[in-house]
Amino acid sequence: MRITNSMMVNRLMMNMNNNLKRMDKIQNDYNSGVKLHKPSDDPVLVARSLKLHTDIRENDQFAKNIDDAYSILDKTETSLNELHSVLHRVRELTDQAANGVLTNEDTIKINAEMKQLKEQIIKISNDTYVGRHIYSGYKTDQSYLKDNGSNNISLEKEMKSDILNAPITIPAAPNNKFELDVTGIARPDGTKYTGKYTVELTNEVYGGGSSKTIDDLATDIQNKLNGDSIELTKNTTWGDDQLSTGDIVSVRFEKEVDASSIQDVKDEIEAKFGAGNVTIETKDNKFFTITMNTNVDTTTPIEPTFSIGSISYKDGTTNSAEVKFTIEDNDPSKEPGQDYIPLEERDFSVTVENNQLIIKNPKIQDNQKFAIRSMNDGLDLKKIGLVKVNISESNEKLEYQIGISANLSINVRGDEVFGPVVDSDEDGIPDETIIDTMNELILHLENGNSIEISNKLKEIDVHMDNVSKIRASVGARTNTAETVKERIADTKVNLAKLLSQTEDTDMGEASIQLMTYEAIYKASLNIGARIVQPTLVDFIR
Amino acid sequence: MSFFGLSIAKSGLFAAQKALNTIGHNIANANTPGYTRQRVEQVATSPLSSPGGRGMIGTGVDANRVTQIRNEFLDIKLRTENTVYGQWEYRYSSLSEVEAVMNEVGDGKIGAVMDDFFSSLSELKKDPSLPTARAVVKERAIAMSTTISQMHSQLEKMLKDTDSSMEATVQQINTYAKDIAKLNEQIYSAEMDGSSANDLRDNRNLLLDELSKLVNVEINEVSQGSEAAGKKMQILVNGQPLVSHNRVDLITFQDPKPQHKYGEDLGLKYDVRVLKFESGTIINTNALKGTLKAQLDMRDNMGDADGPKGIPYYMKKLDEFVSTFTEEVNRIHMQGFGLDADSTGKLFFTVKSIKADGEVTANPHNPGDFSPPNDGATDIAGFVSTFTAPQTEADAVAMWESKYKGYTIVKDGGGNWSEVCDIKKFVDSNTSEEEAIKDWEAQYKGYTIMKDGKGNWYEVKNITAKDMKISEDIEKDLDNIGAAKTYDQEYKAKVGDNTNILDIIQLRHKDNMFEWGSPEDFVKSLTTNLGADTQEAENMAINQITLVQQIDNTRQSISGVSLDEEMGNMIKYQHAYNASARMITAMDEMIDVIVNRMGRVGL
Repeated sequence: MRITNSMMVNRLMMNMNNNLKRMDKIQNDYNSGVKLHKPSDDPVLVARSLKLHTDIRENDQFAKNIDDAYSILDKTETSLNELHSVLHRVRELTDQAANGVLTNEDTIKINAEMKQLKEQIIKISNDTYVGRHIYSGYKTDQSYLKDNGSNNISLEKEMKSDILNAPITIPAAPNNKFELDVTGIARPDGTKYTGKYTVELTNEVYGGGSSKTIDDLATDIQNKLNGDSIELTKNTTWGDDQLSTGDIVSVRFEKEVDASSIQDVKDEIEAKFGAGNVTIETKDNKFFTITMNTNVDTTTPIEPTFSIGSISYKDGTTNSAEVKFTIEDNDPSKEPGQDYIPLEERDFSVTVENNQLIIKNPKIQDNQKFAIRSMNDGLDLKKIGLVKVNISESNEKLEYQIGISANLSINVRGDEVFGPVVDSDEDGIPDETIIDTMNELILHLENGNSIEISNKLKEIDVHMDNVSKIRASVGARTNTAETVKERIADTKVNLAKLLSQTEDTDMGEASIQLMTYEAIYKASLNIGARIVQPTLVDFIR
Repeated sequence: MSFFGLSIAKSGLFAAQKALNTIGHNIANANTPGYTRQRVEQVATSPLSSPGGRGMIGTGVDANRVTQIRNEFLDIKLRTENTVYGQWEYRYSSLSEVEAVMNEVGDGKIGAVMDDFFSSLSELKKDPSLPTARAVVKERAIAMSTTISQMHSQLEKMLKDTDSSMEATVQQINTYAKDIAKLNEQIYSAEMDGSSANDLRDNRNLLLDELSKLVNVEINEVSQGSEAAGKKMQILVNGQPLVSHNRVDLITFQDPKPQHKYGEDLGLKYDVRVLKFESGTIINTNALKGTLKAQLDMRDNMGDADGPKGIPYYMKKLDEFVSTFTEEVNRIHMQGFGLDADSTGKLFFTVKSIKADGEVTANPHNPGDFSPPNDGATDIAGFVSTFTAPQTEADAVAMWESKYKGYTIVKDGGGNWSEVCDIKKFVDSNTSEEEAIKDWEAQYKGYTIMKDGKGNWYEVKNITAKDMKISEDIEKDLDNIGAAKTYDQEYKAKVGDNTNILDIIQLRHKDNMFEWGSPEDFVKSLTTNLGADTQEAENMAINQITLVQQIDNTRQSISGVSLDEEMGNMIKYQHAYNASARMITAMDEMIDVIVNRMGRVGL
């Protein structure tokens, strides 16, 4: 092959250029500390580095979250400890007072301290973490209790059923009823509902190829809970009370009764008590108040239900269902029927989620619980997906993200701590809150009723146990937070290491390479200078 | 004795002189690009035969032809490879530019701003009542939107620039074509006498080399019948003559400029240049190669069916990312509740249009689309009127509803018909909401439906990357950020409720959001794709330039000027010249002897 000068120069230039390019890349890697500058440098490594960068940023966020979660849980733990010691003091004082050997003066002192302790409990219930109330669920801007100890806010809650197993068969009457108990549900002003709903379902097969689906069951239950077929009774057994002169009993219809039916209703009622024994008054065609003119003997109980042939309602519908009595307090200041959830407040929603029935009522202003009970053995509540006594739970859970699809619940709701824990009437539904217990204690102390006071000891124990239980759960969550925090720190180190392996320049390798390239470059310059310079021209004289 | 010897020596003198001139020419052009070394072809002139079989007498040297030393085959090879090099080289530089726009390495662009956005949501999740956390979410969302929309407009500008640079390429091709045509004529006339127009040919070869980088050309030298008639050059692009000897058929653009192949898809507001020959012949761009083809690829190609991925592919991918991502965020956000009364149903990112349930459509469906017997009507009233007893207006409405699911027609008091959207009905007629959404998206491309926290439905037109920004509601009032799912009687969020934010955060790991997986997977895949493409282009460009250089070197080896060689030759011809001159002196002396000294004996 013939070699010309320009060929040699070209090749020399090309090689030198390549050398420079390599050196440029190496020294860029060396100076910046990373070997990936653009996706085409190494698409596979770049993809990994992108992923790692994202993971690191996410992990950093988790670390921040966990720190905050830890502080809140810490604050909650402190607060619960304080509450526990307050309750402990309450118990001590109660114990002393229950002895019955104290002087009047002592009792007054104890009572004064008790009142102080109640105030302290209310203060604890309003504990905040950086301005957010820790017991208030989602309503972090409001305190859980008012200064007088009544509930300030309501937490939304729901009732969840067991997993439904289709098909569900509702038996025929009378085994098709269940009872929804809203007893103990308090209004914002502190007064409580005491009503029970009787829900009567239709004999039907739901799901499993039937024309009615599980969703239909939910719809049916919802309509029954909200509809006019619900009857209200007072939470007392008929016959327990002696109806004496002046007592007021009421009949309540869900819709306005048509004028044509009013007289029928009155007649039926009067027949029940004996003509002349009662005065029946109509209030807005929905309430009928029945005032006793004489003492009515209820030792042979009058069935609290009766049938009217057919009632025409104002909206054109008719109903031949049973009508139930409601025995009202005869306090004239009280609106009849106040103890029950009025129709307009009944906003139950029943939905099916993940094969569970969810019963919610956002309109009930309370932090309390409702329960479901079977009216008879015929209806297996487990089967229709409603467990026998199912305490509702608020879903106002505050969760912090501490990992991919890992959340840590960081709040303790007020209803768990201060809400009804003690079941005073032993009906399976807790109805007494810490504040209730305190109020009663104070009342009994004022009255000097040492037996009642000693009865309260048991209730205080229940409250203390409850607080301890919650404290344990918060403690467990704090531990989780600590563990996760360590893990996050470990992950961070691991990720950083991986990232460094992926995109960082290996300095040793880079410097050796740089030196090699430099040597090659120098050599090529050296050789080049020798090759390019001389031609024959230089040697011709 | 005659002057014959002088004449022989003279021819030697001339030949050496000529050779030396050529050497001078070679040396002078040693560094001229495209220069091919020349050589004087020397042949002994026809000898005189001595009568009587006494042999032949040489008559000297003939040095008339100056030829080039050149291997034509290497030219062809170089030009073929040069075309491929031109294509990859442009593709590489263009993709590097896309890489620079995307800048997805290390703390890359989309990935980083998206991470920041999710981090801010995570902060808000911790305390949804905190106005500063809300403000950060807004700012991060703005940062994300501007980054992506800017990226998109940069890509769009690149597309436009590529279109312009294609024009420059075409102009260059045309200039080359014209120059070559001119040279063709010169060479042809110069070579009429059978000589070789060496330097002109060098010029032309150089132009052809340059031209071959821009576009694939086929070069033919067509013989004109006889050796004496010479050859005429023809340059074909796609089998169509660009240059036929001295005539050119320049490449121009269709006028008016047609729309970009995907102009509507990408929302381009300008038209692009499409190639054709001046004579009117259309150019099949699929068969093109070289820089021109690379430019067309970068400008036009979107899907795999189009060939190598171009800028539209990346624009489309950004659009896909934005439209799906914003839709998903909006869908969740719309169901959330803000801190003000009734603040549900707010969009987080802006969309092109939103239509509430029952709202009148801007462009109603065409009643003429119905098959007979109800066709032909151009207005809704006309359509309804085609229903005659026993069919009723209700039948007309039913037919409308069954054809345009989700829409119905209503008559106002004045008897005028109009079309309205009835999404709720549409959703109810479907088995589930998910199905309904899927169904709607399939029927009305680019549109989807979503509902607010109260269960009202809206039709929403998705946005593209260019339009990505946060909605006015969020821009105006931070309280409109719907962090909560629970609400009070006034449809106002419970301030501590963070469950809706949680749902949005979970989008980050929603694996089926894109075909490529979660949002971050999408960014990763896009980056890897781009990286792999660029890397391929870079490697190909490097390989190709090496190949071209290799061939060029071989060509240089044959045609290049070697100074050493020329020096050697110089000495050689110098000596030859000296020797010939010496011969003349010898002859001179001989003649002198004959003329002046012979026959002078005794004088």
